[in-house]
Amino acid sequence: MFGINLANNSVSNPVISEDSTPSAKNTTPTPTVIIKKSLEIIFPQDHSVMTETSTTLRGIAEPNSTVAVITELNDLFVDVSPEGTFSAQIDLASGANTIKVVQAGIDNTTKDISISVIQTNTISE
Amino acid sequence: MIKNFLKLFYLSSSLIILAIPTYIYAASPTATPSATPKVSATPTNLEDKIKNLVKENLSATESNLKESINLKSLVGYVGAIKTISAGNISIESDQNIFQVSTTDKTAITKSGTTGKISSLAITDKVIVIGNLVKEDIIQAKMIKVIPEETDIVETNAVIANIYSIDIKKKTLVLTINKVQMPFTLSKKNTVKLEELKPNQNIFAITKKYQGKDSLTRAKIL
Repeated sequence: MFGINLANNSVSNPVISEDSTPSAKNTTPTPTVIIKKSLEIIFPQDHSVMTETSTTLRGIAEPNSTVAVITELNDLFVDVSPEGTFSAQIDLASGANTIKVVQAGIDNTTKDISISVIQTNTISE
Repeated sequence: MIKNFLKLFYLSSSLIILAIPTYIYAASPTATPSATPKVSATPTNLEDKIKNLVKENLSATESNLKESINLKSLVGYVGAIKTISAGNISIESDQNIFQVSTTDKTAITKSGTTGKISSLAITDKVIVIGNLVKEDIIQAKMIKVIPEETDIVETNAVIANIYSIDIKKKTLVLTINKVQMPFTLSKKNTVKLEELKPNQNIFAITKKYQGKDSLTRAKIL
């Protein structure tokens, strides 16, 4: 699923960089395509319910950037891979958890996304 | 030359002809039939044990799968109760209004004790866990009243420029959005002040508690 999302994102959001202007020397210009991925949390899903007290947060962001992961119990920096993926082990507090991811882009701008996850040990039938 | 070639051709042809029946003979079903497995007339205790174990494993796997499917279809929302009517409440969560329907199986808890829908009050902050039957309708399995937080610690991540550092006092002044703000270091910080220098750009995780700003993480950009 993650792979499909990743592939879809790559196809849907390709951004051609300014470097793509044809060079005077080249007769057949080969544009450089930089894939800019929008910040997204792939797992867990927003408003999901979990019985686990820790989980692996997975998402996509600008390749080679840094994201700050802020939860009820953790705050940490995570490096984004050249492919634009990141993951981090996070702890979940009992009850409502807001998971916020802030991306520091290469151009020194920030972008953020938040989701809510409920941790509970018991769920009635 | 031609004679030699013909000889060679005849020789090789005869060899092939000879080889074919040999191959067929080798493949013919002359092997002795394999022994048929012996089936004991009465099932042993071991067989019964294995059968029971398989049954137990199957039912355990089935219940695990059911739980997993059930969990995946569940949603959880946090919000404030806006209205209460017979068997239903509505909550406001992230500026969206959700209708929450209950059944006699819905578990309602308030202040740690089991309650009824009548024990809920408007403006109560609740966690609702259930199934999203429509875009804005939740069939609740659980409604839990949670206390309103008073002393909230606001955590954020910002890009800041270091204006000044006081290693002795363990404080620093950061420029954020062209505004200079004093920061102390939070209790569980991992900031190494001696590695930081004025004019550096950092990615900072900050906390605001009771009006005071502190720095908990810093990464040089």
